[in-house]
Amino acid sequence: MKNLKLKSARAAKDLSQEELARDVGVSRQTISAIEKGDYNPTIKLCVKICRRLDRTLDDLFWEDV
Amino acid sequence: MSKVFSFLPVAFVVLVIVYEKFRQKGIRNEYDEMQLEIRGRGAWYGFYAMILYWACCFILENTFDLRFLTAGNAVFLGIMISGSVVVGYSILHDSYYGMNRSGSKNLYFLCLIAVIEFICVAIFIAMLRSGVFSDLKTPCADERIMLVLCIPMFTTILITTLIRRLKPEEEDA
Repeated sequence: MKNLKLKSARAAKDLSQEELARDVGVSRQTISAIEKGDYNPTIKLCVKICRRLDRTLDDLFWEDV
Repeated sequence: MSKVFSFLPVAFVVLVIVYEKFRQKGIRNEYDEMQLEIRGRGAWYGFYAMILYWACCFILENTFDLRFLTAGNAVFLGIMISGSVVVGYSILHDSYYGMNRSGSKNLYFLCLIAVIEFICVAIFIAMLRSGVFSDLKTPCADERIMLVLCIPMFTTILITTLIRRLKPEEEDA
């Protein structure tokens, strides 16, 4: 399932996938896979992404029922 | 002369291991968590490729009486095929070339692989013309066979890298 929240949060910060990937220490392909829903990141990576985008885990990674 | 040819692949492998162990890794890890997971999956596929290879060897030897490679060379070919699967899967899923390696370093690496591949293919063609492969029921005594057995690995690296490069990058919309 696509993670559109992450994508919009990244866009709100005016960051490219490459820039966000570099800031959190992963490859651009990993960020792309997370946004497309092809990869489930570890909690450690989720926290790093949230800190970089100034959002909470619920904001970015909680699925709306 | 045969000792030199048998020593070369071992020396190459040792050099690669030493180089990877002691080179500067940089601040970031070489591979991120997704890449490590993909590489692990590739290793799993490589393991099963080796099992399949050994099954095929068993069938060819016992059913069709084909024994073209000595035991040592057969093991080496199995390792090359298994490694090709691991490397090919990793390259196609962007998990082979590490994050710390720049494009130019990868280019030098690919050029080196291409040169070695060219040499190995040239040797293979020379062996074909000299009739080395005409009798498949007798183990090959030609020392150059080990260089020929490296062709699957190097071909996989070059072709899968080319396929990956030709695939358009996803748009960062």
